[in-house]
Amino acid sequence: MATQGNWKFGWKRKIGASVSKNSSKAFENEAKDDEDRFVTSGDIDWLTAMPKRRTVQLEDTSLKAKRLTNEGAILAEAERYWEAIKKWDEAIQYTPADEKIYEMKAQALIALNEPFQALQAARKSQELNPLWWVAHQTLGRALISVGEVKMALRSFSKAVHLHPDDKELWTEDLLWAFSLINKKEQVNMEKAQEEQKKQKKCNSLTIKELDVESEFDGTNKSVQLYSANEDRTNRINLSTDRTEACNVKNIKRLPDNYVQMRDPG
Amino acid sequence: MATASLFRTSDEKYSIIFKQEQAHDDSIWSCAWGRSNRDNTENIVTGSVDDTVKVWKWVDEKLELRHILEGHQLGVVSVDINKAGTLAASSSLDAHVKIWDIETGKCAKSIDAGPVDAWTIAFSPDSRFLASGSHGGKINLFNVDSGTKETSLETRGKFILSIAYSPDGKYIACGAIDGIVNVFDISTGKLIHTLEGHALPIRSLCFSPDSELLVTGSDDSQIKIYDVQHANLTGTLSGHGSWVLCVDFCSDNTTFVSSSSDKTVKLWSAGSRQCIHTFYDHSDQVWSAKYNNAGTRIVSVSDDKAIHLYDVPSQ
Repeated sequence: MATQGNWKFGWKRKIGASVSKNSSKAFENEAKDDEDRFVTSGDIDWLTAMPKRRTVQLEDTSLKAKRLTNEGAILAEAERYWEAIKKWDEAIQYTPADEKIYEMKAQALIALNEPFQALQAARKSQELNPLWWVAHQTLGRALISVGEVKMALRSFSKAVHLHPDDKELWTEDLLWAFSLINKKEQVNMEKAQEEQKKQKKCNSLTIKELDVESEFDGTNKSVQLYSANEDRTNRINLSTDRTEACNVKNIKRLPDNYVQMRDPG
Repeated sequence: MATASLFRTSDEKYSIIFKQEQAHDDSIWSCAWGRSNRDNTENIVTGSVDDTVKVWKWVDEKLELRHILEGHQLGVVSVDINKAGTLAASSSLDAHVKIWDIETGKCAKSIDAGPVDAWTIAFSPDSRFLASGSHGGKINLFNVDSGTKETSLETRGKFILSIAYSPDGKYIACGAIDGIVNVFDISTGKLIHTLEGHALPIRSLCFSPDSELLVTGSDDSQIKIYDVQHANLTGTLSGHGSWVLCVDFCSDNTTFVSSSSDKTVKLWSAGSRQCIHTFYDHSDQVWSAKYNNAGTRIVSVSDDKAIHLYDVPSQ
């Protein structure tokens, strides 16, 4: 019903926009006269003149929302997510306080890789019913998809706290997010260590260079300096090559459940 | 850390006397109140989803932060204080149970209960054991001194959400996620009663100080009172608009407190089974509310990150 009304509205506006002002005015005047003539004559039967409604509303809004929600769910199961979301959006119009629709919408948006919209829908669902553990779980998954793993962990914790009797929630969400954070910490530690090592290497190199420079007076010494420089540039080239190769490998090896983490602060 | 002011109106018998806003970074899930017999301080322990346990000192009608206990890696589900008021215990989602010295803030024991084998914890009245519910419907009893698992009691039921010792040390009761309450005789280790009063999870239960009554609170927003000796249902109390998250008996043996997802804290009379008073001060679910030893004050903690203290003079 609503879409039909919208469509009519759009069509009328379009016509008005494309028809010239003069001709539309002329048409309006004519139509006005026409109507006036009938009305003044008193021949008109207002009941039959009313345009008949083509459809009869057989369901109330909540039933309609339910039907739309179910249709959306079937579409989503067939991985036709955008169509499903359209159905759910319509259902939300009728029952704006139904947290279940928002939660399904969030899931579909995660599947479509629209993390921010998903986050919005999941937040809404959780606000509408903070006691529903599924909403917290979906909010956590949406948070993971935008890279907020720490916040996701909190959401999963809350979900588990509300409903501790779900193995999947424990292992696949809570403990998984927990392991992600641990891994990230490990990687950070390793990175820091490597950086320290690199700095140490650089330091030794510069000292060497300084040594060479301070002794810079003979011709054979300049050759030594040149060779040292050459050595360094080679090494830099090598290292850049290596990092490039690493990047290529990383891109190829991205796992399905890859998560891009945001650094807090 | 923001500290709220005192407000007391003379015509109200029951009143809120202190608010600690932003007491934790996130929702607070549990609290306990104990009076230390070593230095006579009133201590309140709170546990939050932010992985920390905090020890507060209640002095001059104010809360003072005493210790921040760090070491849990996931949210703290449950805290308890032993009868002497010297030790605090906490359990977290990563299934670790820790025992802390309240005075020094040091971790005395850390017990890895194994995956999902620790949920709500409770000290035995003699403080020698720590009981915890678990995933498989088992009650695990840990030795406080050694930190090892002593025995376990099998309910053959579902996930145990809540647990309580009777103050006389005779019984241990546990509430499961499917709404079943089991009562064990500790001396024989035998299951003596199975109570099927609720159909939804039981998040909290407690005994009366004389160990005659057992009060249970459930997600069906009702509170039930049982006669422990005969396992008779003596009363069903409704009044909360959502899940009942915590119940705790007053030491006067006549009143008890309940907290709920409907953001309220209610006082009830166990004799008349009527609600005496309702506090509407929290702005989110109230996960826990506990009496002090004297039964004159109540502390409550909530998802709104605040700790509230109420003055509840006895009759």
